[in-house]
Amino acid sequence: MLELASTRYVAYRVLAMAFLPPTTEQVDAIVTMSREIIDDPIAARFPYFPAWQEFLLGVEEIAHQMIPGIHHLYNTAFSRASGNPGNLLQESLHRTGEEQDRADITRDLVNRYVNAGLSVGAQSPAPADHITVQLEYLAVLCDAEATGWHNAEPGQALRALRLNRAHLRKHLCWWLPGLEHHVSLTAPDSFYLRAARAVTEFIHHERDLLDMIIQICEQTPAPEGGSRDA
Amino acid sequence: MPDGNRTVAVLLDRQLSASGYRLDPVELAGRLSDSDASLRIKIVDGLEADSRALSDAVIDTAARRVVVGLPGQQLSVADFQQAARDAGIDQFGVWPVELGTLSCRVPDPEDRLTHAILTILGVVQRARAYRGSRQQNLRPERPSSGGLESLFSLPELEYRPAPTVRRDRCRASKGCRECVDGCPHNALRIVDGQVRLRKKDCTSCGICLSACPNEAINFPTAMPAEIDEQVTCLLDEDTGGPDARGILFVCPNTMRNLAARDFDLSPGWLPVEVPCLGMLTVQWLLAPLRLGAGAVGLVPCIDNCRSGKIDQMRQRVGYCQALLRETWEMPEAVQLAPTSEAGLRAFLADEIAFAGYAFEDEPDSAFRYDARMDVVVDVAAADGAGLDWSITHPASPFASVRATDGCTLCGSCADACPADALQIFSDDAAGTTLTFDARRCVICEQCLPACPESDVLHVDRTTDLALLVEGRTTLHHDTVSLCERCGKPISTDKMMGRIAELLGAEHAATLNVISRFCTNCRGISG
Repeated sequence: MLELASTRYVAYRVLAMAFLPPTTEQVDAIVTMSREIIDDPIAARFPYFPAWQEFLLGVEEIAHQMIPGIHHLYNTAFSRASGNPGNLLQESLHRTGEEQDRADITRDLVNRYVNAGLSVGAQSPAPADHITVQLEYLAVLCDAEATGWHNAEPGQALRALRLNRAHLRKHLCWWLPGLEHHVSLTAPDSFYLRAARAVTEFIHHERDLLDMIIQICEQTPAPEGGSRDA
Repeated sequence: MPDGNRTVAVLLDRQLSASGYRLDPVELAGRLSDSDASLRIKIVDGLEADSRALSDAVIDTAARRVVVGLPGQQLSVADFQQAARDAGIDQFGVWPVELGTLSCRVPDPEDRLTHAILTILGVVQRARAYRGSRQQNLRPERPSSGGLESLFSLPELEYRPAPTVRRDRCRASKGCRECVDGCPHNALRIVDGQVRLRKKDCTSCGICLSACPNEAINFPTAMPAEIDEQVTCLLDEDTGGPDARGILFVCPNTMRNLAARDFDLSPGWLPVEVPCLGMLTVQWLLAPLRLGAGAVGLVPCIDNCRSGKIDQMRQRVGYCQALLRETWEMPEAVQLAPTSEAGLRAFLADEIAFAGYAFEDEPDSAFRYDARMDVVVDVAAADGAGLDWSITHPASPFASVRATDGCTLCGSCADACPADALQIFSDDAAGTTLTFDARRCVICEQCLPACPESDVLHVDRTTDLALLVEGRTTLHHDTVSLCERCGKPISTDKMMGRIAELLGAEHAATLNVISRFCTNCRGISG
């Protein structure tokens, strides 16, 4: 479980980086990380692996491209089809309701981050509802989970798993399929479509996998004198 | 992710030639190649038991779909899925075929070889029609052994298909509940007018798929188009094989049960594996006959059927037999295999007696819900029987609806009908008409509680061929009273009569106003 949590941590981080505006440093970092994990034997055991590999091979391709070209592709992929300014990497822009509803989403997200001990402010790389921030938050939860398993504290791990699952259910699983559909129209056959596919496949798998792990944890009797719940 | 690559490879285990199986893989490969030159065929050692050999062989094919002919299945489902992932193809892109369980039980050597060829080609066609899956269509199966400690060793997980719902086709918001009611494990529910799946309760039986009247369910590996391609291929006379053929529906449990038994198989019984026999609707049972089969057989798992649909299966088979008794005078063309050991053996060994009917045209897809009326009518009329008969049966896939004279044409039943089988048409001059289309009715019976009158609307589980062919028919009609002041419609005369009945003689003055003026003009006129 420790290895699995670590693999998931890296996956969340690589995917988070892929959706930031491309810079030389960011592309270098993601290329380095992807070369380390492209043949990860744990990821190879899950059905999102083919999409994951396609994405990582795409990373290798953009390593040889000029930054302005990648930037243009990024803007093409994630700007609204109508030409209106707006970055579709933010969840609130996928919600069609009132402004208040969209504000509620951001408030809910900020609460989740703060409850996990994260500070949200000007130092953040993107707005709270941006895909990168949400994936980074889930990476932090994976780290907390890994620590729990490492310290033989399943309660801590289970708490992180539950937070992770709740976030996936309420947020990413809701809007990422829409993002992928959008990118399939604006930037077909592009690196960013591979990235959108990989993250969509990954988070849906995460939700199912976490459901299963949590169910098993909850049905396993707590160790004597200890509690499974955090 | 979905992919439509139709390149298919066939891997054959060299062990097929072992004494217990008696199939020559070299001859099998040659004959397969003669039948379909586009196939990439290879004979490999150790496919049955060596997951590494399987993975390497699948990678080596460079094909998007791989059909693996095996003596038996010692490897787990997870191993085949891992091989697919290793090759970078779809999770369900590797299709194992246990030739040892069925084909190898055919006594005659030539028949045995032909049976194996047909079986493999059928799966090849099904694999070609398979359009791929997304993560939303998968669910991990919980490891069977151990609790929390089992996770620490990170066991290989098996993934099963799970349904997803196309929102643009789903009519749950209109009140349709066919998939929800059909699910034997309450894994589906409707929230805010949308169907939601609880994957942890799903057993991948596929019953929701065939229950959906709107073709809104996506259930990879058992879609109507895939089954259709497989059955059509198995019945293709150009491939050779016996004249009289039957389609033998089996489920994975059945296959496990049969693998452990000793029996002879008639060369005419050609297998089609579905996730659960409970998903076989009347249409799916009759579709092979429409495609030219002489018989349809079901071998249920019975003892350990997780879906508990055996009674429903019996009823559906009973309906088909009743229909075939009336039309073909051959009810046994659709049969449920006996549960006794001796009965099952005899069932599997019996020659298929009838070569099936030849139809002039081939339907686009006999398994798609849209084709259900054509399948039933075509099969019923195949023997030259007229369409002037009907059959009432609890498993009838069609209904007839009657409205008695008490119907006021209020339209509540039409509003409640999620399939638009009941519709109401109003015209100032012609009046109001309630119509019914038996082809659209899904027998959800939501019209019954919607009707405000008692004992007016009746739904009978009757297949009335003439009614089906006729299409939309009039159930009830009435003229409409018009406003004396503005000329707009007030209500049907039947409705007015009903209001008069409810108001009684003491409210004659009120009735006088209501019956002469529309709601807008009543105040002015009053």
